[in-house]
Amino acid sequence: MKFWDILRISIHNIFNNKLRTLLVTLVLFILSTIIVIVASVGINFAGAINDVWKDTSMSVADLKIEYPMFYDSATGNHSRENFFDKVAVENYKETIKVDYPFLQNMTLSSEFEFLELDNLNSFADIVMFDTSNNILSGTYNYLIDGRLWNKSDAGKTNIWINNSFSENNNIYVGDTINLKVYKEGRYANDPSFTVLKMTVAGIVEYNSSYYESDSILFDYQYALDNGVKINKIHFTESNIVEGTSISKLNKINSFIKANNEYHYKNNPSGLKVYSDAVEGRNMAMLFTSLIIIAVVVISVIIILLSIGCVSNSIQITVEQNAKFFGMMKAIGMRNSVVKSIVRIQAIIMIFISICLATAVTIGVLYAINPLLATALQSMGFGVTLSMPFYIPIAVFAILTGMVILFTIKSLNRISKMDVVSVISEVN
Amino acid sequence: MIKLTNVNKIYGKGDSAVHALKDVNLELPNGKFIAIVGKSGSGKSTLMNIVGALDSCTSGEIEIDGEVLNNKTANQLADYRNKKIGYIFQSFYLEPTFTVLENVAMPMTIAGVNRKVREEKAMQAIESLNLTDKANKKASELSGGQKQRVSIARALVFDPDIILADEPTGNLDSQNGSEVIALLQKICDSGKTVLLVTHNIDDARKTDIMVEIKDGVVANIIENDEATKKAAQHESDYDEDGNLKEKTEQPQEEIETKKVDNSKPAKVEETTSAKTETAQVADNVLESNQVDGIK
Repeated sequence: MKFWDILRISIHNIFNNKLRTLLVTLVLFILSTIIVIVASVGINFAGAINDVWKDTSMSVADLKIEYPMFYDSATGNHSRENFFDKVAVENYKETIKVDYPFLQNMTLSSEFEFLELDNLNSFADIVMFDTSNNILSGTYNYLIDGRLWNKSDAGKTNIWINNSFSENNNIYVGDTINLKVYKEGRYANDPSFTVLKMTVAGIVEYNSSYYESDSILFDYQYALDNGVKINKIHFTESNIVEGTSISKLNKINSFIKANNEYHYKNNPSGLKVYSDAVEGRNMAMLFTSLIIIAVVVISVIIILLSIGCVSNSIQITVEQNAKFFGMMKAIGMRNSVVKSIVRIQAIIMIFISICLATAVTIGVLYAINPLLATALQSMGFGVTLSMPFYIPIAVFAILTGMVILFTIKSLNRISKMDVVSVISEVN
Repeated sequence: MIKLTNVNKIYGKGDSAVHALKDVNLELPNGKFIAIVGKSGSGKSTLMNIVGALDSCTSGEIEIDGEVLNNKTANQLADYRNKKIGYIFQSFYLEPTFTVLENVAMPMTIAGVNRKVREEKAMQAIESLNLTDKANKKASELSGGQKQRVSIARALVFDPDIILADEPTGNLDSQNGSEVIALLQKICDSGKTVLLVTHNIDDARKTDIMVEIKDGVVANIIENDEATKKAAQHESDYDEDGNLKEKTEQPQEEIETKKVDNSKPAKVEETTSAKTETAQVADNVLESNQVDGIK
């Protein structure tokens, strides 16, 4: 039998039982509206919470870890001095890549305690960059004069300076800077030092939020080879953003605390911001999860009620139309076709209910938005309610699927329907 | 050829089991108008339902024009009922909210026939039964006789070889009833096999063959000759076309009968005063306990 004829008969049967159809559709409409509204509100609130967290997380995407301690697998100790070993640095970088790939663009720096510009009266932060990451070509920086770093500069004495540093100290491309490198720090008992002669290869304008204005940028390989003490790790693009799982975030937190206890004490504010962000993220995830759980529970309850309603309707349809179906079977209609007619009737009612529910939901959300905005303003939180387009589609698909699944038993009665007893009269 | 071999039909189980048909062996030729007669509960409708694949037998074999129904799946039986059998029921079983055209076309709709083709064929069937002006009316707006004619049109629309009519005149008045029987005769004359279940002996005697079912067995099979049929027609208040006749007295005629078996004569209810001898014999054999068959 052609699908359009099955559809026509289904619609015909629906209008044959107007009252029952109306009642079932009304109940389904009410239930569908509740699901769609609850799901829309839930998703909107969850999204709003995540947006708030995202803003928080951006402020700690730039993670600075000062005075890092490094783990020596041979001794099992954490030691600051091990960092001066290039192998230890490379191993550390590999560890970060593998275990914490979200921590990106690691730059190493040494503060003024260990460095001094010899021919200038300036305490400069020396920033060394990873040779695999040319920060000078980043969007935060642009070249004023000279050239940018390239691979051939690895291990060499070329340096780059900031534009303001250049102007303040009259240092330009081609000039030489003498850099004092203190072995134990300028305030140590033994403030001995070596002098490195560095040549200015380029003048850049870089984002001062990342680097101090008196920073000098040069290849860290060379710095390490010449005894520069690294006392700061800076992840300029840590991906501690929306989407990272709570377990991963907590791992970062634990990692940093466990491996960098010293600097955590010395830079509590830096890590505190990070920790706050993690806790905020956890809270956001918790609220989001609770909202989602509530939405799911309510939806499941309502879907089950809807299934019961439709299932009951299907049973009544089969019983009330027993003679019609019996007659149809007598003149050759297959069981599968009869079942299809009944199913399509149910699906049509669900479809009508969802359409009405969608229209009502859009209206309701539109109406309550201004009231909600006023109520939440005092909490410093804002959410605009709208109905995601996929919600009614998803509800329709779930309801239809569940109805088809849960009414198999009712529909199988059609196969077992005794045509003879339905249509026979006198024997 | 409709052939039943050792067919049994048992309803229920154990002590409450009802043996509706008992070892029925029957061969009915094609192209005949066959009446299945018997009292209520004798098993005649059960027999027809089994022949029409509406019901299955508990044991035995049903073969129709070489096709054994026992081996068919549910879908194959449905297709068989759709195309090979035409049903006419006592209560017509039309969908009241469908039009006459839709009702008549229903078997073709079920078979997936193109809409234009099925409407054309349905109209032809409707026209052949003088219902053209009713084609677009809803079935609920028709009289009983008209409904039964629609039912007949529906049964014929796929041009099946076998027509099964279960008490088609049960809900009709005499005139309409006669009309229906006359229609069935015409259908048979066109080459189809018509099985008529009836408890009306007058209608039964208008057929070619009468099969009597009693307590689930074939009690007797009578081949009605033309004289018997004419006499039955004469006794009817209506002519072959279903028109009311003027009542006249008809002389008694010598009529030969091809009865296979002699049976005990039994009292049957007198229905008219102008019964022929064959009719009397036919009435008597309905009380027979002997089983026989015509091949």
